[in-house]
Amino acid sequence: MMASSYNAKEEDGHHSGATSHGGAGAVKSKKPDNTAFKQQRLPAWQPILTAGTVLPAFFVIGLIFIPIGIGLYVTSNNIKEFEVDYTGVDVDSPCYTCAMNFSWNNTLPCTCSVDFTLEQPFESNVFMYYGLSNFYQNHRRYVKSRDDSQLNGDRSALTNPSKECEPYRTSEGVPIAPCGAIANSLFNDTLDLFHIDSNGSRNAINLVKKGIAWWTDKHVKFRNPGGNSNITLAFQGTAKPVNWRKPVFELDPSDPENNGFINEDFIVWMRTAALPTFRKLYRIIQKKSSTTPTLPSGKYTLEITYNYPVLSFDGRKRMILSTISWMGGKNPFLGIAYITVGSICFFLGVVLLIIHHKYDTRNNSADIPN
Amino acid sequence: MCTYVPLSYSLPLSGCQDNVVRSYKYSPLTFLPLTLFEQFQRAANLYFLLMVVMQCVPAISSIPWYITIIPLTTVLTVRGLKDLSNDMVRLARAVILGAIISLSCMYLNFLFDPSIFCLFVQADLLLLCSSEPHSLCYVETADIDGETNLKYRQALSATHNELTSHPSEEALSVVLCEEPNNRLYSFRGQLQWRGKCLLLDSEHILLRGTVLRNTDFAYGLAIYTGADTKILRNCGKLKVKTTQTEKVFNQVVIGVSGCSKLSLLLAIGSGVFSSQVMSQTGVPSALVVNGNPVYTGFLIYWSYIILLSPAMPIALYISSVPPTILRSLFIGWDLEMYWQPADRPAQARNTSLNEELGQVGYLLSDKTGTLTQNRLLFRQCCIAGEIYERQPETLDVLICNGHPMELSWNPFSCGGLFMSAPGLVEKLRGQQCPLSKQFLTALALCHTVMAEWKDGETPVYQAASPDEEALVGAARELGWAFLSRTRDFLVVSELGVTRQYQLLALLDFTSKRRRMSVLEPEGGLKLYCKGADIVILERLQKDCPYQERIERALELFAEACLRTLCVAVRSVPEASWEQWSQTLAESAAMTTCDRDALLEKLYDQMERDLQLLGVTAIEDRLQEGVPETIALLQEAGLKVWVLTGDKKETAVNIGYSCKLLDPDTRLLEWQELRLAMIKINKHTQTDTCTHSHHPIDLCLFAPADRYSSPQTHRSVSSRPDRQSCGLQTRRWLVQRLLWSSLGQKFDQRPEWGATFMRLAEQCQSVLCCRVTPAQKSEIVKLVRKHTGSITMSIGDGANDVNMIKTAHVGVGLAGVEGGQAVQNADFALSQFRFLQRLLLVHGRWSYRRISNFLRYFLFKTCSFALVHIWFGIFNGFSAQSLYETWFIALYTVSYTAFPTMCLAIFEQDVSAESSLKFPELYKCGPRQELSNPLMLSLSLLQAVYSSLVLFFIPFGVFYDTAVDFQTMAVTVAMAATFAIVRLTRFWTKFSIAALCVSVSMLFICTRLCHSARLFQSSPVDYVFIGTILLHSLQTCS
Repeated sequence: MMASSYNAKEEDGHHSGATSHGGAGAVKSKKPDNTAFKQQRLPAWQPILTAGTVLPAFFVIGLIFIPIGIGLYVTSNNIKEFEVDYTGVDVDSPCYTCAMNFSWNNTLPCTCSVDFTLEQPFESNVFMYYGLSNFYQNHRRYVKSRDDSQLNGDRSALTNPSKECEPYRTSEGVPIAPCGAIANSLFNDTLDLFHIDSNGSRNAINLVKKGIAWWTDKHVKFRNPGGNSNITLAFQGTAKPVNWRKPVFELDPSDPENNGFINEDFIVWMRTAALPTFRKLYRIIQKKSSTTPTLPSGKYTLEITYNYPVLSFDGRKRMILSTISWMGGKNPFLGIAYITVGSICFFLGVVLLIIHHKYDTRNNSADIPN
Repeated sequence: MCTYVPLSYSLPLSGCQDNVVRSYKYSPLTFLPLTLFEQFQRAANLYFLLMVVMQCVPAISSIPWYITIIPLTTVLTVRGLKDLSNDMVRLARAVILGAIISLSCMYLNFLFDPSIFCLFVQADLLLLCSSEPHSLCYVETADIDGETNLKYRQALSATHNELTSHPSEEALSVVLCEEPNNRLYSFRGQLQWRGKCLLLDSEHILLRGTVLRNTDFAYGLAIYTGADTKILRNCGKLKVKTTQTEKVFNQVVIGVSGCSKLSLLLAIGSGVFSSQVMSQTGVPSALVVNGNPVYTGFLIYWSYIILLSPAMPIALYISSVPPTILRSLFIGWDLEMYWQPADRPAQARNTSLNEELGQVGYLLSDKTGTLTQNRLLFRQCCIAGEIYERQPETLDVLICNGHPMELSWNPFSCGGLFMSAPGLVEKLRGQQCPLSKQFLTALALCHTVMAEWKDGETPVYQAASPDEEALVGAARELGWAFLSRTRDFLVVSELGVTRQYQLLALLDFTSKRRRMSVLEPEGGLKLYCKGADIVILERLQKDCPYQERIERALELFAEACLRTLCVAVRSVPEASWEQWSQTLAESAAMTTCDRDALLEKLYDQMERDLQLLGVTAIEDRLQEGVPETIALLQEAGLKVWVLTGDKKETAVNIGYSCKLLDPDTRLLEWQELRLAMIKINKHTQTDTCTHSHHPIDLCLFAPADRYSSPQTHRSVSSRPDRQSCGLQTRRWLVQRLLWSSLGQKFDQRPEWGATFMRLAEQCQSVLCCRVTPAQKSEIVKLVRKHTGSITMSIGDGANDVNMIKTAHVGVGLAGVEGGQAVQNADFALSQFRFLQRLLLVHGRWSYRRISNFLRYFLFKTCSFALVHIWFGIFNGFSAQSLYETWFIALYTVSYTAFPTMCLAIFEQDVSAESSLKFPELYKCGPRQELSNPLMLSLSLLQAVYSSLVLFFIPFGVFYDTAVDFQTMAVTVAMAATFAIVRLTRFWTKFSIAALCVSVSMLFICTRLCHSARLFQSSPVDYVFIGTILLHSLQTCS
């Protein structure tokens, strides 16, 4: 309707112009163009909040969110997870002595073992994590305290690390490789898992230590200076981080592809966590055959080489075994959040519907035309 | 103080000033420092510079220095380029002017070139002689005051004679003149010429900017050059109008930076954290700087200031510019505001003011040419008590067809007399009535009109005022055709007989005198005078014949909304004339300040004992759609004030006819309104006495019928429930005495202004009559001062320029009175009725868009930045950023800029038709409902809520999982970007495109920043290498 009246008007203008100016065509008229853009008549979709749109929206959101939430929750519940705290705070916990007697100068590593029982067998691949609590890996000064150039194999950065690494930049004048607080605080407990047979014999479980880091980290971000060959020579003239027991080129002497900066345990540690309670992937237990579960139910022993002190900052150390699903690890929060939001929407929808039906006396013809 | 300019025309004058005017600001050398200096005067820019400096300090730098400098340099560059381009335009103009001025400084010889008919005068010149007889010189001053008619300037006869008769001997002369000033219409100086002292005034001066017409050449002496010329002195100070919204912007910026005091809390938290947790022996303890928690807290404070600085919407300034410009273009593109007959679209000359249009509370309008068409028609006259007018019932067909009267006997007639008075014509042709003859002679002689003979046998009249043109034209139609004017003579054809009248004196028209007179010696010395009724009627001789009947006619005409002028004559005795002219010459020779007062007195002496001849009545028709527009604007809650120089009756009648006043209202007038004001103000009686006795009493008010007494009014206004009486239509008429220093009075007695405004606030409309241009702007100032509302002035003539400049928003109507008003206005329209669309549609939309934009910007930046506070709780208050540094840099600039800009350009809540149909919708603008602190704090609350969701949902999901910092950062960043989507309410294809661009920008830039190649080139800057997707794929495999 608008458009038609508009056209008529334009025609009128055209006629009068032609008659009054005579050869007006030659002179360029300053008349604005009658386009939708210039006349601000762009076709537009403008959602208007009325009972007719809001109520269905609430119900639809509720009906979509609740099933999603339930799905997420069920999936999360199906994930099997087992957690062992081996910090050794209590007197009767097996690692108590190791925790209490900890000293950086200990030459002999302190070991302790924790027994636990899996009630249910773990099917498919099992991921083994270590978890730390109250460890502020996201503290700004900590996060900054690294030199990515050095870790990328830059030779100049190897001998002259970035200032960000202070105070872990040099040790007695010799540059530290890898420098910085993150590397210095590398998690260096060794965890081994044994399955206890029904006859009481201990079978070591094969823990795969490759493939736990991000692909880009392993292949792009972290590189040894001068390639992987003769790594000892490459790190000559550098010092090991203060808290380390062995230099970086001895992290995994057995495998040159996993030694030095490209050691996957090191890489995983260097990828800082977002929150002070976090876990990091330690090992993967691969499924052997389709018939037997990866970890059958039964008794297990976790042997810990206790190198990493956490009690000084009131931290906790845990070992976690978990299967994963499409949504990652066990996490009921997202499912609960979805269910909550969906339910609130649904409930509000019902309340508004009741109000609408009870108090709506307006007739719809009085709507403001758009 | 006088400047001496030696005049010796044999030598070129050395050391004269450069006439080049630098209207451009920048040179290549000064551009950078100047533009930086200008831009860092803005608080936000300075703040961000400070941020950059702080980010360079490693101890506190929470985000790298280049993150802030990217938006900052963008802002500075865009702004600088804009200023530069504006300056380039000015430079181009200056070059054009400069090309013409390359003439010698001594004599400016305007050589006649047939190709250039008109010549621009490029300096203020003293006219020495010209090609015309008596060194008359015709000029047009359209560039100075907008008047397009021809005026004349004349050289002194001394210089004229000397220069035209080829001088043989050298003569040293000295010109004394005033210091350069900005008074366009006055000049005082002396020419010391051969021992004589000749007086110079503005008649002898050609100002820069005037155009020489019909004159082959003119010689002049440059008096003021370059920046000293009067026109440049006049346009010196151009005040930049700042908008209300810009003030809100600044308040928001200050408020947000105040919010960054939150970082103090965080710093305390950090200090506590470092003393409680980190000073223990352990891995991170070495990171506590110097082991001193207080010092750590101090550093963290600054780090948080930096980290939270993105909350400060620096990009607000820059991203609000393109939408504002586009919205101004929309005004020019609107077909509904395009005026076909003149081929003139509306024009937004000031691009930054369009949101003000949505908040106007007071509309102050000129009357003539604004509400009316300013096409004047001579409708009626009253000569010797007899009224000649159109008789609607007895009009014959010819009159209806546009040939109102049989005037074929008159060779000079060219139609256009909309009046039918066969009786008058008969009387005139039959020489029956001497009074009618005198009346027409007066009309033909007493004016400043110039006649131009372009083609054909009828002259074309060039007049300063349309009234004069209408009067002289009417006289021509009736047989008294004014043919030409020389310096001292006027040639008039009286019923075919050409007669030459000598002009002994011309007592000029000023807005103060409001009358003009000429003296001519034909058949006994006669003074013809025409002027406003008040001034003429008080100068009549005693018991003037027909006075009563003429006064009644005057009332009659005024009621019919006609503009009236009285015409009178006086026979001057020879003796008194001689004495008078001598005194005049003497007093004219005075250079002191009271010369003007003396002249005034002398003129007054001459213009008395007048004999009233008659009254002319000129019709000025209302423009199309004016009553409807005024009614609509009043419905929209605007207070419409009309300021006019007309007399009360005319103003009231115009008020009725344009629905400003209702027929059922009684007007508040004179004493009563002052009483009302006194009652309101509880003034003491002594005060009023001094006021009423004073000749310059300020207001003449009249109460409307709704208030039986001022007391009720007071009680009503002090009661909280003003709503009930607000519904009644209350109109007040305010009439002001002609009094030039009204503003001063208000300054001296500020309480009077306040009282008046308190009264006026109760009224829907106010009509001010008898106001001068200066008073118009005083009224605007008064409104601005005493109400917080946005004022808008609309006018069409040079007399409205002051008011247009004073108001928050000035609208110029491009009418017949030249381009002065439009030149000084912020918006130019062609018709008054377009105002409804400008205000109710464009203004309302603009206001809505800018305030929504502001709120959403606030929401966007705050919800983005506040996340860091919640994150601080979980990272030991260490000012760690949750986002990747590049995300911070690009978030406001590229990820979220386009959707918000679309919002600021396209958002419409209701269509244009509905906006006009429901004018009440406009009311939320003047009340600032969309940009008040409450709304802003609401969006701030919304931002807080949104930041809580943005942080704590990922927090819950990622708590105690193997998900690393990078993943969380990217997740939160994406969520923050998508939160912007739901702001758009009006989805056009552009909004959708902008959204797609933003989202794809987010993905592309994120992918780029995380790419291996960039990491290789600079590992420190691109730490977030790798994508979650790749990682999860690999994990699953």
